[in-house]
Parts: sequence; C-alpha cells; structure tokens
Amino acid sequence: MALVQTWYLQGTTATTIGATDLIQFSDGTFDNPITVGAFNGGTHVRSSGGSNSSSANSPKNSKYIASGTVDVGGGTVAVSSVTTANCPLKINVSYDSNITITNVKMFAYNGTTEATAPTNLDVYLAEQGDSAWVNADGSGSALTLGDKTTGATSHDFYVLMSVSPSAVGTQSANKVKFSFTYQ
Amino acid sequence: MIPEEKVKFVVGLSNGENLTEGKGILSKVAGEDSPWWKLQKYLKDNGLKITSMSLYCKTKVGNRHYHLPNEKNKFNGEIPMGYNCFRLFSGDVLGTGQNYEHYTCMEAIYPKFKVQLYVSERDNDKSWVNVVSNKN
Repeated sequence: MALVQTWYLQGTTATTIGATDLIQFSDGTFDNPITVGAFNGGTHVRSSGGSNSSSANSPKNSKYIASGTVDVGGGTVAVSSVTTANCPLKINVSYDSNITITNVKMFAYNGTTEATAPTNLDVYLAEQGDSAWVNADGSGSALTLGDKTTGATSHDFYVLMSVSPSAVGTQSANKVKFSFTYQ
Repeated sequence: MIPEEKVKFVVGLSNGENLTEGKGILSKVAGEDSPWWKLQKYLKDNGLKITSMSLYCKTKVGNRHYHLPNEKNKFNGEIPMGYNCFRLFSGDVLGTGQNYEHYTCMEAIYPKFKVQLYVSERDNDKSWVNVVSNKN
C-alpha cells in the first residue's frame, strides 16, 4: 500500500467522500441553494450522479458566524470549543509504514489557478482546536494545520469548513487543495 | 490510492556504508518506521552522519541518478552541513480526485539556506532545483 488520502463527512456515521463526489453546501436541505451573502446551513456528499450520499448519516455542518464563532447545529459557540466529532470534515492520511507529516496546508481556489480565490464563493476553514476561522481563498491565504510529528501509519485531521456565495448559481468549478510533506 | 513511490533515496554514511531506501536495513515493512526514520535511528544508534545523498529511479528511458553536493563533489561545490529527504503531496479534493502532484525531494542543508531537488513521482524524468532559506 502506498499513500492513501481519505476524506469523510462526519455524522452519526461518516460518509466517505469518493474521488468523483462533491461536497455540497446548502441552506440546510440537500440541493437547496444558500442565499447570496449567507452561509451554509448544511453540508452533504453529492455523488457524480447527483444523489445525496450522506442523507442517512445526519452529516455535520459548520456555519461561519464571526471570526471566532461557529454554529455546528446547537447555536453560536467558539470555534475553539468544537470537538473532533463535531467537525464536518475528517481527513485521513495513511501509509503502510510509520510516517510523520508536516507543512500541512489547505485552501480553496477557482479550480484553475491556485493563487486565485474561488469564483463567487467565500471559503472559511479552521482546524479543530483553532480559535478563529481562516478566510482560505487562494493559496496565499491557506489554512496551516498542525504537524504530525509522531510516526504512525494513520493520521487524522479534523476541519471545519463554511462557505458563502457572492452570486447566484452553482459554484462547482471551485476546488479545495490539501497539501503536505511526509517522510 | 496514490501510486507507490518510485524515486528512492540513496545515502553515503560517514563509516563508508551506502544505503538505499527499500533495501537492507532500510526496507519498507508495514507497521514499522518508514525507511527515512529507520535511517535516522541507525545514524543515532551508531554515531554516524550522512556524507552524500542522491535520488535514484528507473524510468522508461533508463536509470536516473540525481546527486546533491557532497564531500567528494567533483565539481568542488560547498559541502552541506546535513541532508534531508521527504515527499510532497498536493491534491484537489472536490472534483475528480485525479488532479494531484507528488514529488520526492532531497535537501542539502547549509547554515543559511537549503538546496532542494524535487523529482516528480508522476514523471520521474522531470526534476526541479530550488533554493530556500534555512529558518532552523
């Protein structure tokens, strides 16, 4: 086995986000749009065929409220208070032998040029335990995640993600990039 | 799954040994330390240091050897104070999942800077040299 990176949308049961899936942000209901200027009320896994892959798993959602606050379903709380179980995104990096992981970065971009912010979308990211959101629009504004300096065959990263559209329409050309070094 | 790394590091040690990633004491075994961390333990346990480093791979047009400056540098370059090797992965999440970059990088470490040589794991015939500040 070589390097494996697996993304999950957490919930009562985690939904694996496959290579051809999309993470869909909605007003709270699958396929329902978010009002321009508002933030996501729901996070879902949308298959390439358009179905709601996470419908049975009560997926977690993190909604940006302010720089240091978030709503994960129970009202406004501090970003720093969100538990790993309440983080919508779990990213697992596994390898056959024990590796360490450093220089972990995550950002959103327009799908073409890494330095360019997502089109018509404002993206906020935070790692579990962070005290504030990072407006991770473009590679120059990437969220830096904590290093994993103890060697292991499996490392987990827990991330909160929230988006706000600035124009009407589906914004599916935008992408999120995750990068790291390992040895 | 990302394809297994094809680019391997080769080090010369202060006791004259030459070790290759994936071979001998640097074998890659599931559940054990990675070859790089096995090397670090071997160096510490035996009071050794790395005196040369190169990357090696077999490509469709033949064997590739990429070398960093070392004590026997035939071009009389500056001798590094240390070496490092790591892999860089960078990939998209939303979309097809096929848009990713994967490199093996070795570093020659000098007091104020590092010389990095990246070799693509997707196309082992491609390499890049980079110089960055040494902030440690």
